[in-house]
Amino acid sequence: MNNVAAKEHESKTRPPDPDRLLQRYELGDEMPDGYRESAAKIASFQALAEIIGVLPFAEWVDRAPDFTRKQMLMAKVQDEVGHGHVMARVAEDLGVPREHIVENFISGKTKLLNIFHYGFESWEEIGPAALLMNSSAIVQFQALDQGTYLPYARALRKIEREEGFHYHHAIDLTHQTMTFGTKEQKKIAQRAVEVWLPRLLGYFGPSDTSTFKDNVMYKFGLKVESNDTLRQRWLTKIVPVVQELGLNVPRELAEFDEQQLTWKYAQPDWTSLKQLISDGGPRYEDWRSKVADSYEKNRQYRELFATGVAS
Amino acid sequence: MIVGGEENVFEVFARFGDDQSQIRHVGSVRAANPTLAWYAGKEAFARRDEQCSLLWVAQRSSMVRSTSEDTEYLHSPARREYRLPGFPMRHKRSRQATTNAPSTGLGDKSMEEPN
Repeated sequence: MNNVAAKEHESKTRPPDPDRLLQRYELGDEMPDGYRESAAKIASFQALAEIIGVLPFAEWVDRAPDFTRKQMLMAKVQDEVGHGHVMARVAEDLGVPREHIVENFISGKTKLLNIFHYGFESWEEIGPAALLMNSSAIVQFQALDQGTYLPYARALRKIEREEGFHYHHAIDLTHQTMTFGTKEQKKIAQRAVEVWLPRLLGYFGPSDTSTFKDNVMYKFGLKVESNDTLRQRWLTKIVPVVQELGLNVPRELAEFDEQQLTWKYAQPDWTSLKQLISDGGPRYEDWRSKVADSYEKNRQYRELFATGVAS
Repeated sequence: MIVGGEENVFEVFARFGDDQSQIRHVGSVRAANPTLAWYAGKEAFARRDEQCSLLWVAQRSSMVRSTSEDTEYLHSPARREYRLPGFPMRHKRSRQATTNAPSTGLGDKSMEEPN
């Protein structure tokens, strides 16, 4: 695979229709009709993703195999919750209070992206899964931070820095399994790549249609790049990293086409993916009830923080 | 401009690194009072090893914040030539170009290197 060619090709591509990215907005600025709502939607959706995204990791904190891993995992969980706070602030300034973000998830009104419907079945799965998830998030955020709503862009840049730590943590974790693990443990890590890679391919969203430029988020410059562009960019970045760790990316899942200078990959089944999002995946109900429980359990702390008075 | 704002929103300013680094705005937090806001700011923005050496919070309701409509007004000094740093230097050059010009005592070679 000629990855250098892919990277060179990539570096020549710039966000399409750059004119839509010229007009940028601060919170107090006058915005076009629907802009504020769109920006609020993207920020509140991400705030929720940050909060839910920690749950599969948080349940491994007390099962981490050693103290250092436990500390690293806790730091990650705290970072992600911090990202939730930062994003919730962006959404709140646009008129969506954090209570709505959480309550709409509890009531089932807000759906989750496909990758948040799962958990980890073993410790060895976490490294490769986190590696694929973090790298996807970084690719997404690095495009989104070129967008037109400046408070959101600034929040993303803060988040990216910490996602970088998580990415290296995931590499380190995977490397440990691949270097010191038993045959069985390495097999689990390999299986994790095969399970999570298709999920992440789906995470970037449906293939671009001829009308993707009519998407309101795209027109406003809140969405900077197309789904396919980001998916390609991610594969270029992550496949060599996975391979270098001693894991295999099966050709039928993703393969670089030297002629076309693009990746060929297994098309996600968009119908069943949509179904998963609306019906809930294997761990969806666990996460929903966990959030509902802790929302209730921590009510007095929330109120104390919101009012300064203990009830 | 926006005068005031939400009582429970606090803008967070921080400095990372030594005291020669810039103090910058890093984001905002929601809290019931300034002290809680300060702790929330610490948790959200100085949790990692960023060598945070200064942390301030300011209640939004006490602030005046510019919007893009103020940009022209904020840029206005640039339209006044005499406020630009290059202005006196240009005059120095034109003085030197005029051989018979009376010395002002400023920017004069003989003043810079007294005998």
